[in-house]
Amino acid sequence: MSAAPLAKRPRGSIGARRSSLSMYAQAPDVELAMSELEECCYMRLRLLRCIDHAKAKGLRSEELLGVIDKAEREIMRPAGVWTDEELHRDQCSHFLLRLAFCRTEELRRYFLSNEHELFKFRFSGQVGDVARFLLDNGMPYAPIGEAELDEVLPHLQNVRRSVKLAKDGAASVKEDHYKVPFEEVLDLVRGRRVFLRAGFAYVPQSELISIVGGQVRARLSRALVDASRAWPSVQEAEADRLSAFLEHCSTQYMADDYAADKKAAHGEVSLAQLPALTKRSFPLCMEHLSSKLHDNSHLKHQGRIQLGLFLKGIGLSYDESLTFWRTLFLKGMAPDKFDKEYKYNIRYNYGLEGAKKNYTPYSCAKVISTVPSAAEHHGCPFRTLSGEPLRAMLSRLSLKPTDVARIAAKAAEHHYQVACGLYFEARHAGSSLTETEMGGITHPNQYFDLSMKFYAEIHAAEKQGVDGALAGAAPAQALAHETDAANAAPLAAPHEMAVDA
Amino acid sequence: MGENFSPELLRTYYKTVFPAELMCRWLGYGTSTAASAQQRLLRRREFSFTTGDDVYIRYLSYNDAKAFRKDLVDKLPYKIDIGAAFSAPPSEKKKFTVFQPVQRELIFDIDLTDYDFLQVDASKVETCDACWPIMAVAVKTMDRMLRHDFGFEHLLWVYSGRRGIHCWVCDERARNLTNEGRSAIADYMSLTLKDGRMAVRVPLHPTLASIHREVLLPFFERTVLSNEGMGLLESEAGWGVVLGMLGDDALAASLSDEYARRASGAERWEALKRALERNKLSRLALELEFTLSYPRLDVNVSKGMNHLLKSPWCAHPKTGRVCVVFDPQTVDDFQPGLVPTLGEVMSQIDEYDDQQAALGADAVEAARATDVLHKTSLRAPAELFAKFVRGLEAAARSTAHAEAARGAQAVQW
Repeated sequence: MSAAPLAKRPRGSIGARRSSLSMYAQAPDVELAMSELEECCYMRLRLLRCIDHAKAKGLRSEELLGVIDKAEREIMRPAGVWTDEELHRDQCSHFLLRLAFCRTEELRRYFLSNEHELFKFRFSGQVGDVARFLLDNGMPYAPIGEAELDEVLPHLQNVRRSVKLAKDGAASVKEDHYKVPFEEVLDLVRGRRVFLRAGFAYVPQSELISIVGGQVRARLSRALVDASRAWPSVQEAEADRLSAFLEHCSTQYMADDYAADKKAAHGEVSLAQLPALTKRSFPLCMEHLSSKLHDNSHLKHQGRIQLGLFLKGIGLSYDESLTFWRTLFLKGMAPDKFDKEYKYNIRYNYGLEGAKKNYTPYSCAKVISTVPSAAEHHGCPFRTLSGEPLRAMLSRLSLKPTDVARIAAKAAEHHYQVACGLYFEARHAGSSLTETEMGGITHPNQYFDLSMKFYAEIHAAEKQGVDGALAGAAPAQALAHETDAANAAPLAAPHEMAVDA
Repeated sequence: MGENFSPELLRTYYKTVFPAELMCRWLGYGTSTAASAQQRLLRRREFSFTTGDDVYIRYLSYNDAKAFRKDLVDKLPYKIDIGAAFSAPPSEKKKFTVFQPVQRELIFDIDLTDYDFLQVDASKVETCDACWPIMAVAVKTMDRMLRHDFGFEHLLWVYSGRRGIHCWVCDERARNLTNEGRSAIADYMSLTLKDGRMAVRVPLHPTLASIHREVLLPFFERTVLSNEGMGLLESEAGWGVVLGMLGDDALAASLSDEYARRASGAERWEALKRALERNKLSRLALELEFTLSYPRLDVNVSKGMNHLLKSPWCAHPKTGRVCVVFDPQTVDDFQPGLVPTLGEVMSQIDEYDDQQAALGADAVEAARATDVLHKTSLRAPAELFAKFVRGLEAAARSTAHAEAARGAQAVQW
């Protein structure tokens, strides 16, 4: 969040007296036809999806607010002002989508984070009635007194300087501060962007949105959990009417989660193909893990899960997966140690142990959010490596210097997924990804699928053009040829693995 | 010296020494005498055991210390882990449709192996002991942040038995943190490594500034550089690691030449600082000071409610040492090498009893009544733990009073 003064932003449109700003504390008591309900849900979903995409592209602060502003105008209130009817729809759609997105952790996270963003946007556009809104919603925040402010002022100013919230001159301006339990401003705590003492955070006026946004988020999070408890009975009661629609909402509008029970578009992947595929079609995060695994004959827990679930997602069977890990790990340890300490992990990934859930491969959001400590290699390399190590790694993969520079620049701007998109383009000559609506990569398995599709098309074109007689060859064989020809692979011993299998 | 760790030692230890009662009082947080069973926290707490043949048993739970001790003796776990307190007793979880974690201490795990510049050989416990000073810095840093910044008071610090430490923040407020809150605190307290260095923003956040000034720098000068301490700039291998962190080969090479001519680590550090200043890279020196001393947390342990952590008073199977609690105030005096192994604990008890036997029947009678822990060098940590538990129970008692007062003060939702 930038610290743009709240009052500077123009309101949504001239003459908009009514406000869409709402904590959604109480479900509206209005009657709407089914078709209308469906329509308003779809509208809100489109809006949330726009927000999600903008975030995936790495937009922040003013840029993000701009995108939301535009999308909200186009989708929710084409007439420019909020009519009563549109406000009702806003309310209804929020409450219905709560139900649609309450069922799993992943869905809740999606809904929560995008609704949170929407609220922050609306709050930032609000002018005179902020105090009223806070009071009405039971948030009676009042600034700390003069004496206390004077006492902590040097600390507050140092925090502001340290996070570049203010130039040295501006930091010494005495701004009102609010003292709240640190739990209410977790995003400020997380970034060390606030002064803490004895469990209280001292929040400047300009960061008030952080407190209010945090409240909204916390309340919505609780509401979603409540909804998930209520869902089974709603589902039953609404079996003939809303249930199917709501379920459809959440599945249609989420990005593909690459669950393994969905057949991978390219069919199964075998162990023998893996070395070639690693080099050709793995996103950088997985290529990195894989090469570290080959180098060290070991990966730490999070790395095993990230790579393991990805491999499951691309269609590697449990048996082959076990062989894969076993072969590599056994270079560094005794077989019984592997069986005792690591096999469980692999079985777990495939839902054969522990909670026995069918775990889905990590999305980019998840991968990016994990931060490896020393000697760990999971996470998103565009984020975790950055700078010189990233450039060195890309150069090792024989990318052109111009591509390396472009990708590293995007990564340095924190646009990791766009950097990944550029990386895809650099490794797939002639492809264009970042120019399309997609913008960047949202899921490591999506990267893989796009790559498979890219090569399948080339292969099809070649087959047509060059040799009709090869028409019967299975794709796997074609790939195997490619392995021998193109890759004197730097990855260790692909053949050993194949033999062991 | 006899053996340090074996199933037989473990059996006697669990049967007679392990402070199961205190453990249960701790995890009961003053609810062990509550009238309704639902209010008693202990029975909803997950324990998990790793047995000698590496079978991992999850979702164990106990009504009281007697049942806990009995199961310990029956199953002889090589490792005991403690999980969250759930909405229902974990051992009966199948009976409930809703079964989820409801509270959990905020936990931290620091392990020497994350300090990659130390080149610790984990298989040699002596080399781990030698690195204790850096753990002590971690304790001081974190203890200060948790108390001063976050206002937590009930911090249980535990030696993990080999090369790390654990911290259990047991305040009610900490136990009720959401996952998001935990993760925010972990991020606040940890610095991420970027290009091999800990990235810091200058000017430093006030908390980091005071920690740097009062904890890290004295340690850095007295221990990291000094020959009596780690002497990181005393050998070519050591300064190679440090210079490598600069990420500037030319600069590193020129310094390396100069280093060979310098006599001491302190001089070498001064030379480095001067060179960085000349090149307008002063911040790098600050980052190196952080990199070589600031605690490296395993943040994933802290971020979730459902992460299990090894229990205090376990014995580490590799070293046999008991995972004792220690006082963060005197962490500099703590010597991991003096922590007794199971074998040593047993011989201390025998020794004590023999001494009493020599004194006659009355002394033997008195010895029988003595808390067995008090016959060993576990006495001090056990007393510290008992004091800690009493503190928690007192806090729980005053909660009822405080609630009324706090309700009036706090922001109401």
